[in-house]
Amino acid sequence: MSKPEDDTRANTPEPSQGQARVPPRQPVDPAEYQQRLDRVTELFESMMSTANELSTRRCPYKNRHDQCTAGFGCRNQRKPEIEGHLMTCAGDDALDYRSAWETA
Amino acid sequence: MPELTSVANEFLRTEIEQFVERPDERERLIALYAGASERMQSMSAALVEGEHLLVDALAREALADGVPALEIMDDGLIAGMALVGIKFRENFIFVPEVLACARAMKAGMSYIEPILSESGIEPIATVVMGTVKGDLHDIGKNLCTMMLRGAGFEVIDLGVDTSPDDFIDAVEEHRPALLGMSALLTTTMPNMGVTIEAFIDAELRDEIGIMVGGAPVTQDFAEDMGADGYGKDAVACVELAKRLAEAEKHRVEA
Repeated sequence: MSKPEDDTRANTPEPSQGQARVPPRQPVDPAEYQQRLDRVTELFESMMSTANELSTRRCPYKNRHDQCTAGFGCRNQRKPEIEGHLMTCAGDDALDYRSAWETA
Repeated sequence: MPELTSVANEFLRTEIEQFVERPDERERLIALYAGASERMQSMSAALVEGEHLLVDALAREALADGVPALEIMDDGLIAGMALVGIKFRENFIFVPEVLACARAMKAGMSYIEPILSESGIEPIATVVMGTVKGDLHDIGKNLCTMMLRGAGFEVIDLGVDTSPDDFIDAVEEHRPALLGMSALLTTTMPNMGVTIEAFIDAELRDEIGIMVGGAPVTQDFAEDMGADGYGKDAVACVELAKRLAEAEKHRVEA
């Protein structure tokens, strides 16, 4: 998950003249970090509440451009107008969209 | 009180103007961005657009230039997510866009994680997540993954159509405390049980907490197939993961 490129900084020799000096990384206070996690969790919980409500009336795979982002077939998928673009969703959200999903 | 014009980034100004209607939220966002550097505003804008490669580059550069990790979180990533949350609540964007923004946030966080580690801050636990064999429906699993990462878990996401062998390989490689399986179909739901059986056969079952979820899954079904817990949605998934991670910690320490 973590990218390793900056991990060796502590063992990096002093830069020679003309090289950019890499500023030392400030440690993170655990309590302050936890505050950020709490804030992110609060934001995400609110988003989940929206997602749950939205899923009763709109397919969750349909993006803001009414394109289908699903990795499976669905009867509501229509060929895109521009080749290479995502399929267009023809679902009107009036029916249960799940019955249209390919399940085999 | 800062005005909208005090936000230097034009994209953010337009976003606030177009999408943030509540005066208190508008005020809060303007104050937040007005106090943020132009670089952090750019990062926030990239996150709102779901541009994970740009967030990745901006976070890397900012850290290399000595910007503190918490400033990147506050003014770049979390500020951006706050705007995303408002746009989502008001139905200007939908779940796929939110997931793209979460991916961008993860890209930025990936550079902060080594600093957390250096500071003695470790993830709550590592979780391997996947949709079971034969199932390609991943929205629920993706939302759980987003929530878990936001709460401080490290998540190894195996994607969709994950075979029992793939789950086992991932657990052997990453040694997580927890495994999360998702299924949307009643036809693929039994593959959760098949996977648990495979863990028993591989003598790994006792080394990991297993949680399951998905529209057709119930608490009874989870218990019948031998899972350690069931989460009815992404919020419940995080609560369950915290509880199981704590139990796993005690088991390892015992």
